[in-house]
Amino acid sequence: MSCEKPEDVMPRKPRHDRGKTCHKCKTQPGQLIVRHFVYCKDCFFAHVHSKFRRQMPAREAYCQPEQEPSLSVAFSGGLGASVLLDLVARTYRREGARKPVWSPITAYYVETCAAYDGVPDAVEHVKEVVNGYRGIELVVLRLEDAFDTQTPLLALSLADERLPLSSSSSATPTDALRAHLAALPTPTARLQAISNLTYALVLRAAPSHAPILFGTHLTALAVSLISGVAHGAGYNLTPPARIVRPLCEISAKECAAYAHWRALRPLRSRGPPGMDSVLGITRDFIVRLDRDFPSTVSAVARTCAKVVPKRDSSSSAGAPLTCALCERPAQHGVLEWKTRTAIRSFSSDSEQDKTEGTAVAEELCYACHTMLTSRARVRGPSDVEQVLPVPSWTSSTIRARMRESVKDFILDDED
Amino acid sequence: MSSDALALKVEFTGGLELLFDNKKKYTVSLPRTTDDAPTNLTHLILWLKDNLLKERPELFVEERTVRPGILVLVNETDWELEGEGDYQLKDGDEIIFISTLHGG
Repeated sequence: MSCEKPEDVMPRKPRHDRGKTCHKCKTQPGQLIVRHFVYCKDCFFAHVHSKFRRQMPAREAYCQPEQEPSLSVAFSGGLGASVLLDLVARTYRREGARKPVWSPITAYYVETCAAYDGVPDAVEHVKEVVNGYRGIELVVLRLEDAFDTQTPLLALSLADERLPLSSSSSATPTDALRAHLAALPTPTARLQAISNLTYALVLRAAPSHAPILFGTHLTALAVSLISGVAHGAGYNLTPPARIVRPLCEISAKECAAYAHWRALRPLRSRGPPGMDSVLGITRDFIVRLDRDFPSTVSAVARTCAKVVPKRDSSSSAGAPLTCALCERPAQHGVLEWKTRTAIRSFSSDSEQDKTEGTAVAEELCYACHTMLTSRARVRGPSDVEQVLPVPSWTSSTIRARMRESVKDFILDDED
Repeated sequence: MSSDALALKVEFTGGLELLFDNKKKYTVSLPRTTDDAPTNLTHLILWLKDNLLKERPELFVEERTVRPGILVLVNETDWELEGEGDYQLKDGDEIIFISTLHGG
């Protein structure tokens, strides 16, 4: 007997440990296996609600007594977001409930169709879904809102890794968005940019004192953590206190079963599958891992939750830095950091050019700088000309920091 | 009443329907035996790939089973409880394929 293909001769281990009866109620036939445990439908719903409630924050942790207890839900329309909204509505907006724990509850949807060719606008579908729940308001944002062309947008030249300022010629927000995405060097960068813009738009639109719920389920969280580290975003593995992920213990399989049995209608994923990106490859890896070793994915999330970045504590580090592009915390000195960790060389001609003009690299986090400057291939002539319009908030931040850096040299009018 | 064919209801959701002519529900007819063995879910998956799948088979089938990330329900029960691909199909069975790869 050959041992070359052990699966041919060895019986496959069953995916569940104990019989086909629900391990909770011990009476009903099981209908779903979740990490080796068998659940009937009723016990599965109770299990999901319990995990959701366990992750929900206490109202007092966010709101002063005089503030209204607002709750924001980042609603992408996808699987996790649909499950999240349904759980929020069933928990906090059910018929006959006493005084609501959270009120108002607002769902923020960012329409991203302008970022893709041939992807239809889904606003009407989202309105129908959200309006189907009593007492949840909907705020619709658009990805191109990140580029308000009423005030001139700045742009960055991607030919130089110091990212010197350039000017944007985009006439409309949609033009600016498309120019922004077209200038990015890799498919990974484009997906990352869409995610960053969406995140920043939601955070800016939601009340600052309210928690914002994201429908990131366990599988998506593991993908996001691993791909985030690959992007160079390890400094931001821990989300800000405003961000809450109530589905962080619920897998994609559980969400899919929940959505099916509750007859939810998640939006199909927008844009291409992205298998040519770090995110797509990581997702493929994690989903396979989840199938073959269902407990390992939760171990990924739990391990990453223990990772705490070492924040700059020395006085030389200066004030805490916020990335001008993604608005997440950033470490100072991205270029110096890269000099220490990467093998690079500059030609002597370009070195001289780099000493002139205003450069923005030091205002960005490592992940955003890498997103703008990484190359999937050898640079061609067309790449050298790439100019990237930046979002309105990035333009404002750069202008403010430039003013701050020269304030001691500005003469008062009276002088 | 016995017949030589099994009538099955097959449904695709979560975006999988895009691979199947953008149609969610099908009623299909399969022989009761395939290769001298009772027709099972593996046979159905391969039959769907050969007969109904319109594009990108790699997003549905992988090594004679469904791609990771696809939840299969047999009469509303997780196929992992029913023996996965070895489940012997019965007349009137309802098989649902749900993609979990929706995104956010």
